[in-house]
Amino acid sequence: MSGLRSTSGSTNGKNYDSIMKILLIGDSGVGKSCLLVRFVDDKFNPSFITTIGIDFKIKTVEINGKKIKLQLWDTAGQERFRTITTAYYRGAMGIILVYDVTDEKTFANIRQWFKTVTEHANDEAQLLLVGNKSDMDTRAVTYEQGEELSKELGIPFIESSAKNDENVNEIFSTLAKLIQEKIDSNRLAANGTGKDSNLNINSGSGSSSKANCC
Amino acid sequence: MPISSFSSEELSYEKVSLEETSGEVLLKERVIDYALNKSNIPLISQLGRSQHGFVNNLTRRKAWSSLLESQLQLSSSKTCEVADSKTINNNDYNDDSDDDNDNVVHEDENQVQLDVKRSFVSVRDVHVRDLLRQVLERVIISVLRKYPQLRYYQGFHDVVSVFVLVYLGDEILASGTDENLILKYDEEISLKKSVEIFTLLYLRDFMMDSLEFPIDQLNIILKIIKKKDIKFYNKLSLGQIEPFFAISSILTIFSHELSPIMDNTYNETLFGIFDLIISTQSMNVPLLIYSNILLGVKDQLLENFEMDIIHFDNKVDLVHAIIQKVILQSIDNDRMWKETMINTRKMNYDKSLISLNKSMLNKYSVLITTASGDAYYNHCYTEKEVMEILRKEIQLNEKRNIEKAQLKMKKSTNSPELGLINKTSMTLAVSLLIGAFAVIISLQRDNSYSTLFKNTGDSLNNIYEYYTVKLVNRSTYVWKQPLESILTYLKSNTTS
Repeated sequence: MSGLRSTSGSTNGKNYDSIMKILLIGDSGVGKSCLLVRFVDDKFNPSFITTIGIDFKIKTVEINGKKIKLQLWDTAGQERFRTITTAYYRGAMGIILVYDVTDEKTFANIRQWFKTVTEHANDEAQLLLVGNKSDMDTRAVTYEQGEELSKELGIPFIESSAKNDENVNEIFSTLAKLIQEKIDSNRLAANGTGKDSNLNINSGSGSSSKANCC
Repeated sequence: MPISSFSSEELSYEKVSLEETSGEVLLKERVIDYALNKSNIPLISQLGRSQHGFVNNLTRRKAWSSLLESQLQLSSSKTCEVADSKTINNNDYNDDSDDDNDNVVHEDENQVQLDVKRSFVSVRDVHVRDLLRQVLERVIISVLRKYPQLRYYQGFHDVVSVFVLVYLGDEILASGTDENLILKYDEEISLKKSVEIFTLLYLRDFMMDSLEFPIDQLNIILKIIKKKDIKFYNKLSLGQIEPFFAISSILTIFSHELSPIMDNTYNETLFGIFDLIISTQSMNVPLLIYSNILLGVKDQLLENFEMDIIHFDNKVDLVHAIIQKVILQSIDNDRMWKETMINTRKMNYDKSLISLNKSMLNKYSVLITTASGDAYYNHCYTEKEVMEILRKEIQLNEKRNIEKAQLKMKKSTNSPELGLINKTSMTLAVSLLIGAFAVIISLQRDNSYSTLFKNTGDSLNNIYEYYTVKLVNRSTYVWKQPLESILTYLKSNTTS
């Protein structure tokens, strides 16, 4: 757990093996910034400031002996900011969809976020569903409900608590590993079959992402 | 002021300037008091525009109230001309307590609560913080309930926080742990009134149903930079990207970046920005400040641009990341702010800004009407006038939103791969697709369409629909018109 964090720090030189662009999205107040601050700075502040527009952070992690520089983009949750935040979906290799387990509405809205992702992100992007605030007594969404939705959407699922530092590193390490696997298998496929086809009419329709199921 | 010692030139200079500053500030405070007593609006605004602004919160809140009430005459207030700090009688002000709207919950109140909970985070004392938050929430809710047509945006709470501190900060901070503190009723009424006027005259563009108009404002920043330093503009590829990186600074008038209070010390830089805006009645100020900051840290930006270009997927990300990094590094630099403010004060009178705004913004924008900085001397709007402008601006925004939604529906990107096709292969793709449409149409005409594609009919329709709109939408100038008409024809044929 701590091994992932020990290699932190923003670097300008090219002392890393690869770069991954990761985006955090979800309703306002679900804890996106708290998760990020916990992961990057190992801090927690229950009243962390509102994100307005989009914020950028960097963290270098080590996965399977490789140094991976994570470019983390934190987004504002309020609907009106979607015009702006979707401009940053381009090139995202990982997208974390966050809801609050104590707030059913944020869970219900995941479908809307998923739709936004399919409209704006690369088909290749690896998604991950996160139910945050798992430490709270006032839970309104069960683990099973989260799991069920994740299966339906065909994406992996993690419950976390930024407050208690539960599963926070796992979110980012799981995602980074999945992205790495995708990169590796794509490289293999590209070597085996030659060039990728450009026109793939079915992709992005939602059903095709089942292949990534956890 | 002669500098006697060469060996410690810098040190003694700083010392002298500090003494000078405090003397200047004391003197200025007395002049502001004089201007307030005389209700001399031109003098008050002159004082607010110069260095040190309104000096401290006591004079500041009186000056803000005087100026704002000289800019908008709310129905129950006295006329603009006689508004002054001594005669402002808050009993005349309708604090919407009898208003029907007062008890009707605004649709955005839930979001307000989420943001209020995350406000004043730099205030350590829990009791003080709670008090500040309670006032903040009351003020925001009262404005929203009074004007249900306004939409709340994340960041509005940051702006209102500044007003809360200017009007009630001294009192609340002094209260310490006094749990029985009863805030002065009059001060809170003045606070609400000022926030209300500021919202209607200065923040209106941000409180529509979408961010379209604020984004238009952001584009002014790029134009200013282009005008001032085209080389820098080109090197940073500013012509190729949307300036979303500036959204939080502009929406919050820097109160998101510059915490208004830290360890019980106010941020005078931030308050000075508000002084300048209110005393020039100009929302050009935040845009000019942002442009001047970027121009001021130009070298660092260019250096980082070169250094980081290999690390980013695209220029939108790159430019955003380096601007955020460089601005964060210099945000606490007093000298940077001093220079920025000097440059901003100079540029704020630039008449060419007015024509620039007119070419870039909707005609009801605050930058063209109520906070244009154009006729700030005693320019006073009536509530009726502003309500009319607001109504028209909302209408225009709705129209923009509809147009945008239609465009988005057309784009409906089920297959973003099309974006990968370059222009040459596009022509080929177009001919192939037209061929494909012809096949579909002929199948449909002789009725074999439905029998042939019983199950796949829907998806084919989707593909067809997608390419039709995608092509209409993506079409470039040269071939748009003829193709559009063909496609429209084809579409009407198949759907009928």
